[in-house]
Amino acid sequence: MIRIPLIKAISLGYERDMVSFSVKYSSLPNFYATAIVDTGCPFCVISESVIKKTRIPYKEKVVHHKQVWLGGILFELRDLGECELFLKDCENESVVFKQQIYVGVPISLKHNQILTQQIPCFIGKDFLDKNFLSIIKSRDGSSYLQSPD
Amino acid sequence: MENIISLSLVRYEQDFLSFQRELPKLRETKPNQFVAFKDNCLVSSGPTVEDIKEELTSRGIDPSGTVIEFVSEKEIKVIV
Repeated sequence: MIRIPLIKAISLGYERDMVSFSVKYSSLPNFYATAIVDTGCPFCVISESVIKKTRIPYKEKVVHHKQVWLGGILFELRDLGECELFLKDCENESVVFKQQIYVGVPISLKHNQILTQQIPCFIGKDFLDKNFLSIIKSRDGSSYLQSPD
Repeated sequence: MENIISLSLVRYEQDFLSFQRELPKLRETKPNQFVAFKDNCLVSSGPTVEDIKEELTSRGIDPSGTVIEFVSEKEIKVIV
């Protein structure tokens, strides 16, 4: 059974279930980020603020979705392809998954640039479904991503 | 290799939580800037990720393993 602890943290003004993870893309060193675990988000999306930390040439990647609205901002999703996604379980052992990753690139910065800078990463429904993971809430207030067996 | 990643993940998460704890104070001291946290400390700040990336790299710190977050002057609330 896989059991991955989630952290409670503030993102875009509200407490969210979040998780830190690492991504291996091609031969470049792993990069690290923290994402909202969002069952309402269809994809795993890396924010442009995070991808800019890396040397990944994301602006050259194919646009997978041309117009996606998020928080009143219009994004395009650029396809990084299948990457290795590392998370840590309750024993602090890393667990690795293959996952399609997209980069959310704002199309227009005319409106609300302050908000655009704060758009977080998302671990989406595609990842949860593919790996049979659900968000489990414990009575002590802690949350986990957990597989059934 | 995977042990190194799990250790790095633990540290990264701790740095992210340090940023969260410091955020109310940072809204006053670093409004509308990006900040970088490493080993539970604020290690850099600047107007863009690129500025921070350049500074960290010049100091021998790997930006891709560093928590870099934007600090808005006022908290923005969004339902996603």
